[in-house]
Amino acid sequence: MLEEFVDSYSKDLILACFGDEAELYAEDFKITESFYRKYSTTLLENIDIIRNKTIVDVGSSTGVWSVLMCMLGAKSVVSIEPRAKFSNGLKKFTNKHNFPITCVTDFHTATSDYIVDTVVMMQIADLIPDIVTFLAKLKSNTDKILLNTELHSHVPNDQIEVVLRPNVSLRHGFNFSELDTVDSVTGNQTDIFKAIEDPDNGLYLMYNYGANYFQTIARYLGYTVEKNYTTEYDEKTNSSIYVINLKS
Amino acid sequence: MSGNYVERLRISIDIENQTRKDQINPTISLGLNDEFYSHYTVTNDFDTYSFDAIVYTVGSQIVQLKINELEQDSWRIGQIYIRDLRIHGISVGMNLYSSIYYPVSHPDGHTEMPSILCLGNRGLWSFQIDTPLHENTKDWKIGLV
Repeated sequence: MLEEFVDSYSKDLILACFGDEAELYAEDFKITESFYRKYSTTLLENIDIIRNKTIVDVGSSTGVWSVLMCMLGAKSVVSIEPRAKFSNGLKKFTNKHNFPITCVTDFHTATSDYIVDTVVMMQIADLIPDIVTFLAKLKSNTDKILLNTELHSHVPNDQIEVVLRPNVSLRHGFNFSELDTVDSVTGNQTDIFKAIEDPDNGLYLMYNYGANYFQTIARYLGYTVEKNYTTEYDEKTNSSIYVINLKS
Repeated sequence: MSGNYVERLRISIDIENQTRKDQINPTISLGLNDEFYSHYTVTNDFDTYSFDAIVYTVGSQIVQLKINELEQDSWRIGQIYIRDLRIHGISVGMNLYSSIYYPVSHPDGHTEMPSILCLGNRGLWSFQIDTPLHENTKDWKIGLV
């Protein structure tokens, strides 16, 4: 199926999200080992909560996982992404290829507008402030959460480390106290010059979770962790994957 | 990917031209690893300049922008700022500040001046990348995932 994605869809998705300057990348795109591992360990491994299911993809970024979930048989996907550059790119792609994807330019909180079978959080939990409240509210929206989050072995088991980072990179979070400063095109809240002149400009919090953090939170919220396993994507990145049942 | 190359790159640099009217517009050359592929005269106040390069080896590559020297009146060559560097349309973001500028006007010749994006009159600006870029993780990432 990944071959079909490369042959039929990846070029259009890359150009829609990154523009004409990405032409060479789009033409040469190939599935890396890291990409394959994320796909297989998160989506294929949990195909039972994707195929024939309605899904919200929280923080969908370029929408690549939304597209792959549709190709795996998802009934429909709501892709929520605050950066208009990506959500508009995915919308353009979806209109051309007729995937059952609804593109929403909004923050994770928009998840509460949709009742679905599965909420997918693909490496986005570390950018969500007050994750406990967010997960608690999902109980009225969904049955299952499929959560993939980076593992930080230096963080004690059920604790969180917070790190301040400037809001200028391909993958970044938001300073939620200054949402009026979000650039409608880039999604950034500062630029590289302002960030140097004023280091507090556009800072966001990244949350690094300890290995048992989501086990502890699930227990606190009365949820059941049906699956939890760790996988290595490359020499630098390990991820922890959870399937959490909210209705058991 | 066809061919035996590691990666094809399209590199774009946004430049703000702060040349005053009585000065000479800078000419620049863009390239990779001392091989310069594109040459431009910077005339507009703000513009994007691009070049394509084929990389055959894995590992460190140096993106370079050279402000070319004129034989006469070189002191009148205008000043430019690099405002952004994108590869495949994706900004390197704050990593731009890890670039190095070697101004030829310095008495000691090529002297490192990290974190300075104002290129002054003449010199060579460089930025290190590691190929293949799509396999980069963590600090700076390119790609769909």
